[in-house]
Amino acid sequence: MSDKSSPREVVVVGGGITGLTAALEVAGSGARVALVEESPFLGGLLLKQERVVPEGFPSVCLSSKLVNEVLAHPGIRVLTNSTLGSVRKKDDRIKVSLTHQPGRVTEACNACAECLLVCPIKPYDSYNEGLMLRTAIDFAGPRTFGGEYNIEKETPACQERCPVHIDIRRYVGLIAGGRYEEAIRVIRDRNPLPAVCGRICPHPCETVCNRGRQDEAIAIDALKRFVSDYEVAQRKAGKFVPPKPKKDLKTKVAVVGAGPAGLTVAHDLALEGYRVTVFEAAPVPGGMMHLGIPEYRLPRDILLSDVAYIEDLGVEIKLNTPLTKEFTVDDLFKQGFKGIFLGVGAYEGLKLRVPGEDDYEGFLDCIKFLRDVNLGDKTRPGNKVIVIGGGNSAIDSARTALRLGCEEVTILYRRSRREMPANDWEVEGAEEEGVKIHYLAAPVKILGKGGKVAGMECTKMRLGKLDASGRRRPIPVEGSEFTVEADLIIPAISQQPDITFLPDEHGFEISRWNSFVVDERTMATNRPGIYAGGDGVTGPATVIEAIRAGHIAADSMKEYLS
Amino acid sequence: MSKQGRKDTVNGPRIGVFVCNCGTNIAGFLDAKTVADYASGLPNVIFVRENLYSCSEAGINDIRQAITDNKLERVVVAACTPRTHEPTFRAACEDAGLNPYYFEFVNIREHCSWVHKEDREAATEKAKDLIRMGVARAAYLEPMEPIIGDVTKRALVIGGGISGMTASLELARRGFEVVLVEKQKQLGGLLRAVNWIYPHEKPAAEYVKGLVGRVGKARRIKVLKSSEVTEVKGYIGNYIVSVTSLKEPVTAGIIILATGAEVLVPEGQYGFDSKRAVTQLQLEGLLAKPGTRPKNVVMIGCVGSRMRDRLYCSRICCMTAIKNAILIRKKWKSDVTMLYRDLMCYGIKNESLLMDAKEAGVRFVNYPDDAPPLAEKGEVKVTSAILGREMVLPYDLLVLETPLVPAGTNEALSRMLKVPLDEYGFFLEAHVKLRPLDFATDGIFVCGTARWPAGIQECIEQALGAASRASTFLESGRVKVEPIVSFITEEDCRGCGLCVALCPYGAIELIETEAGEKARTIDVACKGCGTCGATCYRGAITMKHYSDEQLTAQIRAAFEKE
Repeated sequence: MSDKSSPREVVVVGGGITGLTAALEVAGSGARVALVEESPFLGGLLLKQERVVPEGFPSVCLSSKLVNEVLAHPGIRVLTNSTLGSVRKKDDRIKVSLTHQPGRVTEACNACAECLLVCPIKPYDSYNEGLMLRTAIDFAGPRTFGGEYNIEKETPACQERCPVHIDIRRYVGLIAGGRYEEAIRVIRDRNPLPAVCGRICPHPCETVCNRGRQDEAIAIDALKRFVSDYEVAQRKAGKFVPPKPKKDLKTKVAVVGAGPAGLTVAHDLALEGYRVTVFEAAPVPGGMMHLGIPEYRLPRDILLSDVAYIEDLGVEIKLNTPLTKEFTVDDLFKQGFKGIFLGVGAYEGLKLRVPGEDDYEGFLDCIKFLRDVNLGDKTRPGNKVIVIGGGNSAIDSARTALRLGCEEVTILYRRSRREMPANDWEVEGAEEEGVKIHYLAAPVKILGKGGKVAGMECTKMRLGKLDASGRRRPIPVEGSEFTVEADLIIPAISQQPDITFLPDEHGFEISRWNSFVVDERTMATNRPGIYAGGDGVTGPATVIEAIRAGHIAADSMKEYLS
Repeated sequence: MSKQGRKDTVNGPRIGVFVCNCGTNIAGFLDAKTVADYASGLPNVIFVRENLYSCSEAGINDIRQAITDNKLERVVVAACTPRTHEPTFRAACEDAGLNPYYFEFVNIREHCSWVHKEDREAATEKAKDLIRMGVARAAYLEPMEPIIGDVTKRALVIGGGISGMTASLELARRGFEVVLVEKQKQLGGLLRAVNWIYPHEKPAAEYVKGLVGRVGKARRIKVLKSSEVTEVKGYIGNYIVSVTSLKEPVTAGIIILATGAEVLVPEGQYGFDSKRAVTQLQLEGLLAKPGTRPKNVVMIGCVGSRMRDRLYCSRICCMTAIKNAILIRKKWKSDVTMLYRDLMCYGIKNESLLMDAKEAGVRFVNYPDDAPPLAEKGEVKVTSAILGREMVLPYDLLVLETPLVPAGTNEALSRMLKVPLDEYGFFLEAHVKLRPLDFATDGIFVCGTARWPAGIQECIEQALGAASRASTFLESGRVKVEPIVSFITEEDCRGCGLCVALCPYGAIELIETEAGEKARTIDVACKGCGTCGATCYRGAITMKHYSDEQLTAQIRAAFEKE
């Protein structure tokens, strides 16, 4: 505080005795005060005590005096049930954002306390260290001040579990009520690719759905698919009203990569009013959604409908425009872009590291394979195909190969079905189609004939103790070797980012997995103004996780750019 | 069915009575329901309500609601002490549109339930009596408006030690003029005699020098050295203070008292001679000088404190001793033994300093309360409480940990400022919790060791707090004073001046009128003590809010018991 100017409003965080006293003192000298308290009640722990030392008079005498004074003070705004979000400093002002939880009990409450008797929800009582039960409807005791009654609502399990925390309960309810346009708006509020996610999201939300304990989980993802298909249909019928940016901020932002992370950043920033240009290396938008995921899982018109929505916001997507050693992020800055997001994905397949891998022809990395197929190359890659790996890419490769006419497609996976990271329904689908899956089998060496792959020697595995990933570690069973014939081997054992496009002096911090190192809270790289997210940071992951990273990056870019 | 509730027809003012249970504080020791039922039968009482906690938000709402719904004209709350909650209940009345002085407080806790815990029946009867008296008085209450006075935007700080200097600097920083009065030739107080300060191992001189330099440079602070306050007149907002070094008195809106404390000189104890047996303060001097290098040092704790006539713990001696013991180990390499009764090292940093001392090789010996050490001919004999046997420790230097004791000037200042001292002679704050830095006399604040032994950190905290309290008044430039003052009817006054002579607050002056000299109350200065009213043989003085009519009604009611 300088001598001349006093602050216009002072935020006091904490409604205990210290916070209350501070608020009164500050307000007493003429400033306005916002008193922020996380719990629904003022008075802090003191409120819950019976006596205070050293005099031993009832603590209520102290707390109620302070609380009543604070409540009656015209210069103090009391914000209970509120938590501090971001604190930003701009010039000599500090901007504080708050999250307020509704109390969910109206003024009609007359404190009869009947609700306490009937409430079936018994959350953990932290004040009493769990020794006693409390109820979801709560009050601070008979000495309630300034907070009345309050229903504590936990975030529903599905929403909590969803990486982007879509208000699932709400949109499912809206769909049930036939309010489809509102439902899709609720989804779009957190997910700019609803049609895509309606088809390929692994929907962890359904895994935790409470209904699942009763019988079956709510078909959340299918409902999302239904309602986004409704939007796609509206669009086709010309009944769709395209979204508009909130304002025009004129600031230019560059997004590198039109995958889910990049598109999310483009969506969020364009909505805010930034002028976003997306630079995409491939001839099609969508990143892995287009190049990796087979069309039978994600129809392209569906994908392009979601992309079109983002383009409606004024986002320009430049295809066939990769970053190279000659066209760098610095060039983007020179072109007037004030912020850059790198959503470059993870396109470089990892090697098997078994003998013979480099000696014979007949290897095709799953990413290259899927990419070529997705871009229109429908030639049969081989006759007898071995796919190595247990993720969705492995299953996608296997099913795609089978559909291209390969005679025999075998998946080798070194653990059991239970540990397989691929979606259950994908594995089932593959098996139904005729893909053979060898569980607990790992490659030992490649067999060749005339410079070409002829097969693979494998070993059986057994599962040992849990490893760092929480899965049981596979251990080779000695003397269990067997041979599988093949003329094509598709390794699908994870990918890492291909960062060969970076010039020598790029200045980025890069991990030993070739990924960009970012601050997890902001997705900021070590270079100012440049953010990164998606597979290029985490390695191969899901679309919904890339969207999450995109949201975080967009939020911090907004702060950076403002 | 309870008789509590409303009754419609009365002749006098419509009175509402609220009987507080104070949880179990009142209701646990008397029959609150019987009392409430009784109250509903009292004259003019049309509404009675029993509350669990009248001071709670719910209780206050109840009062407000009842005033509106039942058109109450007087409110009587039978609860606790006016000291904490009279303002609360008055504010509730004001909120509901009733003049706050139409409120009557009946104390059935301190005056009844707490003192008659053994006799429930008698306590219930007494509560009835007290309420009957309160109701009787309430009928005669009159509305009043608060008195508003101006505040001179200047502060007077008495004492130039660390507390006084810190408070002065803080007030100056906030833009107020400060007059700082110091008795000694130099600023700095006790800290000037200290060598190093804990817990940060910083030379005290450096700190004091910095502070004195800043005070000297602050253009808003006028420093008066070698000066003492001789007379204090006036009241909050307008104090007139005579200082020895000035011809004209200083006017100030508020006064901060920071006169500090003194170190007890242990004359006649443990062979104290200021040479071989010294106080910790004297040790600070020895440590600062080169030369001395005793082989064995023994320190004795609690010399002159926590004993019959001085029960208190001086709080800072243990830490001072620990700090000095470490310094001795480092500088002189002497063997150091600390004899203690209890170690007071509250706080993380202090606690870790104790660990440092133990690591540095300082020996700690616990002696029992009833067997203090004996020092004779270079040897200390002490019974170790842990070993249960006597130890003999040779010493070359004996250091006595003596407490801080009130400054000799406290009594005179207490009389001048009309502020109280505690049983030991330290200044006594208005309320240990609610108003720790205020005096009961408005506009005078206390900080530092004048109030109680305190470490440097606490002194600074209190100084900043006192400055903050003071600036709430200085900032607004106006002060609201309780209108409970004396009123002199001019026609009845003969101008004898008896009241002027007796008023302990200098709140009555004689003025010249056409009808001769007349006494007049200075409203802002009057504390409403009633001395003048009781003295006036002409009956010219009325005590507002405690008029003869009101008190007579109350006394009458006391004997009206059926």
